[in-house]
Amino acid sequence: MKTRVKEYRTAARMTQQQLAERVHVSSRTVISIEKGQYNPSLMLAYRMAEVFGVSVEELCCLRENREMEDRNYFAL
Amino acid sequence: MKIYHKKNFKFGLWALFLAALNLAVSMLRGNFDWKDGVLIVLLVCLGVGSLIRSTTERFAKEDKVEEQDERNQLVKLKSRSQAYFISQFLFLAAETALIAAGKLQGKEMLIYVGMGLMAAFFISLLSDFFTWIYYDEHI
Repeated sequence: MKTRVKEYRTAARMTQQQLAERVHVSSRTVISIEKGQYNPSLMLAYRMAEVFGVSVEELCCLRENREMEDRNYFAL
Repeated sequence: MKIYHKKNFKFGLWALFLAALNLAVSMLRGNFDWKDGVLIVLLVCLGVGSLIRSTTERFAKEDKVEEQDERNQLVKLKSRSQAYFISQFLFLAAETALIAAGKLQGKEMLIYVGMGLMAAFFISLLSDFFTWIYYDEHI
């Protein structure tokens, strides 16, 4: 799933390790989320959104991702 | 001394106990060799390392974060599930090969071993079925 974690993190001048410590996960998890390899749980997404002061919808590009999922679903 | 990570502390004590037990048994039997020495050194390193990490606040916190990390839990779950699938496949392949070889060569022993593996495969299928029912009800 595409997210804007990297974009917000770099804008906040935070390292992956610093973000990981703020949201109580390992830095490897932050790296995977930024690469789009791992989808964060709702609570982790909420924690990260709180750190950056944005909504989960904005951080996780929920509208875009839903539209993409819908396209894939109807293409079946 | 404060213990910050009880699980790691217990593991450290267990590793040291095993090292001491290995040393005592080897000494009593009088057949202490280099393999025992290597094993004991490894166990002592592991034990002392775990004790140090469990009594140091920073390391204990790191270990707890790694343990509770949601991605690590998913990785663990997926790798165990894949390992289970692979071992089931290997059991099936081995039992088929053993029974076929036993039939072709007329060796009953191979057929019995194959049947034993078949029983293990059947038990794994049953446990798979019941755990699936359990989680289907509870998740």
